[in-house]
Amino acid sequence: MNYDGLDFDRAELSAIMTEYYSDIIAYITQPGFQRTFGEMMDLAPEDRPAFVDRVWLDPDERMRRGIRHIEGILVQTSAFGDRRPTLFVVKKFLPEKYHVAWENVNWTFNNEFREEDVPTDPESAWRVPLAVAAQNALIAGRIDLQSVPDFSETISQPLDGDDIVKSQKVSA
Amino acid sequence: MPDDYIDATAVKKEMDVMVNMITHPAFVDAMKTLKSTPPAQRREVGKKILTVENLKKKGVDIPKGMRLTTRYFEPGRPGILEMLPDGAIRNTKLPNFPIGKLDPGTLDPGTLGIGGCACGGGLSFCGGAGGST
Repeated sequence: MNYDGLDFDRAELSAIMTEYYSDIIAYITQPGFQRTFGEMMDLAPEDRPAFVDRVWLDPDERMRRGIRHIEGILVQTSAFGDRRPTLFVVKKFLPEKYHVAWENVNWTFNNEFREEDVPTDPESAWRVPLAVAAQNALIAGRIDLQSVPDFSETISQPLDGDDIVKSQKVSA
Repeated sequence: MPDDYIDATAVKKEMDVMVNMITHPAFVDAMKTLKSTPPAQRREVGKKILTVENLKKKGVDIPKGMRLTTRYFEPGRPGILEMLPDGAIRNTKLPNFPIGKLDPGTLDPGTLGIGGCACGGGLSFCGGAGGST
């Protein structure tokens, strides 16, 4: 039976998601990806965003490292409303007919964090995500992402204030 | 350098759990509702209907550690932060997107899609699905 108001059912959606996840699994478990991932994780957490920019986001560098491209796979950065310290994501768009509910499946790589350090309450989880450039600057500056006031307030604070977050952003 | 950081069997198991959860009719219905909501109101709607508690009440089997949040996917490289003469800071990648003046009500969905994201699994890795681009 189709989902209410939609022209596909659970079995169909499950099958397409499983198929697309399989492409992601094939991508992230190939030797070149695993070696590169290990190299990144050997770095200090604050040095990883620069590695992401230099390596993961550069298709030529990925190829040089023997990471085989799989059709439809995207490597991107992102930011979450709950502000977990995320690094990059491997993503694949689902066919458009399913976008009325789900648009993509993905596998995300984060810096290590403690579960209790990233809030799960809806008010925190549904914040406007930080801009990725801001998030990366904070991670590089070893600033707790949770310590940043809500987005619009953060950046509008006066420059001569005692806002350590802003001064870290400037130097990053 | 070890080349087995990511175990395919464990990832597959995680993804199967994810698929089972996010294809549940109540979950799909909540996502459909969110996607049909104007972007400016999506966060308000999302934090009411796309919560672990609410979905559990509707019969969705939510594994421990599952997180439901807003998410922004960066198109291309993130760019760098730039300080403007008036003290505002903006992202050079998105010059018309002054992060100091972000107002969710004016977000361009083509640039920043807030559509919700479900992620579960380990803390360093997690499987997910997104309702935004």
